[in-house]
Amino acid sequence: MFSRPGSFRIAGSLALVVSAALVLAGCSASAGTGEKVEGGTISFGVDVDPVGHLDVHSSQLDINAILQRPVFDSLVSQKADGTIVPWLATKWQVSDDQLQYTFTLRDDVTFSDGEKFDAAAVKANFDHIVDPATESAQASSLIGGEYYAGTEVIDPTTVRVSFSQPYAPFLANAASVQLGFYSPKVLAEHASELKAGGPGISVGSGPFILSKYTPGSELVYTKNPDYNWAPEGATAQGPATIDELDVKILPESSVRTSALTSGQVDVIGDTAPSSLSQIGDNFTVTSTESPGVPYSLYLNVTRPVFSDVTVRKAFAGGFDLDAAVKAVFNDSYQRAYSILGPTTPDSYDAALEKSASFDADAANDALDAAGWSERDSDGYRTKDGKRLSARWISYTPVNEDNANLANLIQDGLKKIGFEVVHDQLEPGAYLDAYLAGDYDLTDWGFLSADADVLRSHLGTGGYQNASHLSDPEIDATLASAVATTDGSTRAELYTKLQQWNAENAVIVPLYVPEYILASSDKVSGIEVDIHGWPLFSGASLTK
Amino acid sequence: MSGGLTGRLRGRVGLIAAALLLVVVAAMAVAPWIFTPLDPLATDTSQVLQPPAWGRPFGTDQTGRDVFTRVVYGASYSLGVGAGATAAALVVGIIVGTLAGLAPRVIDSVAMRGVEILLAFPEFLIALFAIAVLGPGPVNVATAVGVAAVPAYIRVARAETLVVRRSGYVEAARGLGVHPLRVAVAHIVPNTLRPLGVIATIGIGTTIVAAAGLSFLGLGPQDPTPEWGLLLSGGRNLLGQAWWVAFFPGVLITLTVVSATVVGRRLRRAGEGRA
Amino acid sequence: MVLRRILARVAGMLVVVWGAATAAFLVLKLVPGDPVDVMLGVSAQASPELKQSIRVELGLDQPLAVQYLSYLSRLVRGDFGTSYQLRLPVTEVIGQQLGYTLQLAAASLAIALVIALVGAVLVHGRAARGVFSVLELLAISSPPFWIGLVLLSVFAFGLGWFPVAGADGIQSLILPALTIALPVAGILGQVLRTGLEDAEEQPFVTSARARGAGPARLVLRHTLRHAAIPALTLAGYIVGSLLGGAVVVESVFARPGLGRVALSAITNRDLPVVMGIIVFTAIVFVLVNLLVDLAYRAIDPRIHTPTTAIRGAR
Repeated sequence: MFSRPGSFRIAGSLALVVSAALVLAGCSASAGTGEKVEGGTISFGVDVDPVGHLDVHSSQLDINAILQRPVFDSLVSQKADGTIVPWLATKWQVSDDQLQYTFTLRDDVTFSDGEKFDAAAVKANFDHIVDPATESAQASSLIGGEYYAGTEVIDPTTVRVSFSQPYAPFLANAASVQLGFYSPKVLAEHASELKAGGPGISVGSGPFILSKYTPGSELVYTKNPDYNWAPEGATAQGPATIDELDVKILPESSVRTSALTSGQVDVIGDTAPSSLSQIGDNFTVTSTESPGVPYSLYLNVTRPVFSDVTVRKAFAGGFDLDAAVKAVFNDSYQRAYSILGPTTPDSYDAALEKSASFDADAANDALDAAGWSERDSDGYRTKDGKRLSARWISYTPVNEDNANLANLIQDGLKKIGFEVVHDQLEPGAYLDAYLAGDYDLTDWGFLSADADVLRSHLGTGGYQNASHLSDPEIDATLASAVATTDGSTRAELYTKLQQWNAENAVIVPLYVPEYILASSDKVSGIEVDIHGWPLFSGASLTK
Repeated sequence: MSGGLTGRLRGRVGLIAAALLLVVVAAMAVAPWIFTPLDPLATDTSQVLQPPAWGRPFGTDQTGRDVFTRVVYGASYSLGVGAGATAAALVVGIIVGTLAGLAPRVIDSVAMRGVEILLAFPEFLIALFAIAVLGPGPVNVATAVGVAAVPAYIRVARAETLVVRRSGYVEAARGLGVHPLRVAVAHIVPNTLRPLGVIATIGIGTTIVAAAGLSFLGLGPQDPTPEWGLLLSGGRNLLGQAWWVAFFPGVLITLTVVSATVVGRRLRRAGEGRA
Repeated sequence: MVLRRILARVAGMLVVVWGAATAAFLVLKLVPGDPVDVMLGVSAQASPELKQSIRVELGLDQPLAVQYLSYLSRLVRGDFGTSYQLRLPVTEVIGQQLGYTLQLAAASLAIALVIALVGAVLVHGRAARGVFSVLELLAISSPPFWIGLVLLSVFAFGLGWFPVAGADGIQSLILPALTIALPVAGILGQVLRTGLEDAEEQPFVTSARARGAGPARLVLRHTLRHAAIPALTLAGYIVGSLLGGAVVVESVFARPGLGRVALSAITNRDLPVVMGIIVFTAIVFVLVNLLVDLAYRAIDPRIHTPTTAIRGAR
């Protein structure tokens, strides 16, 4: 999903080197040394308030997905290594033409307001997602976008989802909280209040119930005592061990960290790499590399500067990315080598890590050869009197670490005579410039549990296709990759795409963001999903 | 300030120090290269977050830039906005205040009621409201801060205008056939300049703090501009590890404002003595 | 006669609030940019039909005069509109956060009063007064956000005496309140001290002393009352400082409150919230003025009208 700047965190500093543990299998994020205690409250510090965006079916905010997971269940569950296991659906069948998914549902599931979960509830929810009034951008694309053809109730425990063409990511996406289930009563009576959310509105069937919401300050969840339908293979099938989950909104990273070390909160999320030095050894730190598109630069190939592949490659190789990433993030975030993060299932091409990167000489030679051989009085290259200059647009507020990284990149490119002007625009102005194509490069990272995220970034007309790439071969590869569910075929196709990008430098990957969770030894049993986000259903306090 | 010989001496020393500091800061704003050979935007990944030392008196920041250099170059932004906004506010204030003083009673009292209300608010708050309306941005910060400074000048200009008007001078001039506008420009305005000048000196301090405050909140120029408020904001998350990044810009702002206030107060006292 | 004065007073108050509401409305309508685009945000992929339907829903397609009248009529009924960003009624947004800011303002005012009183009353002698006036100068000139950062750095990060952020209990209130209080204490202190010096020279003091009143009684019953009057005229300004200070301090110390709401609304161009806060501030200002007038009558029945606010007390 679209990572708002708040998902990537703040300034780097001289800090103790903390090795980022790559968690690929669902493992415990905390190891309390004492015995488990029944009941109690776990407090969790987060960085962003999802206020106004609490509707899981429409929100694009990561924080909303994290904070609503305890409340909403999904058809299936995805483990941290990518495998799909049954949850509210006990089994499913995919038709031979891959156009129909038939799910058999559990019959013992109830929403916390008493409503029953059945096939009609599934249909009501999926209809809500694709209803234009919901204004859903993310959930509607996760459910299949234009390929989604509808949901049918076969009988109370059987539901069928149909597509107009094979859509491989569907099963993994069905595990997301965005495709989770509201009580049908809430959908019928409170549809207009879902975005504001709150107790009685954000009602699901999950292990926790939202009992209090103070925007800007905290959310309180209480245990759902009737819960008995955890995903297959979960540590506990029944209700949660703790009585209450208390989420505190603490936007500044240093503030969250102090809250953790002073004992005000037990767990914190979205920890900035720079704060890690303040966290002692009696705390558990779990870093998970984010799957999807790493934080990257998107070069607009339809504008003169970057229409020449030689110039693009000189740009990509002309500044010391390793040094820049190290300076800003120390060793907490790794530089990215590919347009997909290493933990994206069935896709990452590890061979790219050996590819050559920073080579100022080669860049200088290439630019000379491309005709940019003259220099003006400020030291920038010129050709026929025009300066070699690229316009980079970002929308405010710009995350501080990214701003510092941008600075280092600009400075590095200045040394090879390439001018980069960084315009930090208000969202309205940014949108105008972006939609008009009035820029040479822009930047973001896009969190996604499936490599199909490349389709919107590289496919002709894709909304996220900031590069304005239009290549029929690429489109064909993307279309084949979304239409097959065979893991190794997909991996092959995506490898092809990654290597193509390495050759053509349409997207310049910068660093792989990580979700860093830190917890004290007072808690144990917190698992993480494929994004690194915490799951509290099996968590407990320790003595 | 306390009286007595030691008091007077301390006062004199304070005044000289303040005036000197203002000159130095002005020099930083106009010719920053005298103070430092470095480029405020030049990064250096090998010198990240170094504490103050001989070659770098204020240390370095997260990307290896020299904090002292950035503070020096920042003077032109902060002082520029402060002086520019104050100057603009002065001009507007004189015009509106003089007109109000010469206008018929009704218009004058309505206008002044509005001005009195505005004067009851601190400048920063008014600037904040102005920026809320204009939207963030460096130019808007200057405008907002200027707008916030205007009411005080209007009041003084009007007061002086009333003094001249009541002195019968205006009537006499009118009687002689001199156009009221000429009276205003030739006689009223010069009278207002002295008291306004005094207020403006102190006013520059308030304007600088207000502008830095808006930038600190993220409503002004963007990174990597070395504006003082922005520098403070950048150092905010480093308090635990690199206090120097935020500390020194703040010291500069404080010293500048203190100096402007001290000089301004002295001018005011001198003016009162004579009047 | 009294009734007429009260009516005139109420009318005056309403005019001020109306003026603020109109000013807010007019200028915000003149702001460029499509509010619907701003509302939906950068990453939204909304169709033109959807945008038009939102426009109709918000009444943005009506002529300006109609919008203005419906805006006023809603205001009178207490409906400040709905926040673009938060999808909640503005009154609810303000109401939820008001408590925190009031807490902060009250604590700041209390601390400021204590410091100012100590500085004015207990400090005697030329040298001490000299030192205090330098401290006051520093307090007034330092940018509040810098004071906050220094206090944070020394007392929270450095010595660890106070929490670094948040709104948990009294401890987390002290540093933020102190940050706002210092500049206010600076101005108050000056005014109080000058007022006391003036008051001490008044004839009623000599006669009170002649009657055998001791120094403490003198200060408390007579001079302080007299000196309080110029301090009261600053009340509006002080309230303004508390509000402006809250915006900065809530940001520095990561506290919830109206300041945070205001800043976020300004940064995100959440126009209904911005307008709501402007009108709310006008109402607060008008109420404070009223309280100040009543306080004048209580302290000194001789006085009927307040002197004009002293902004240039520096």
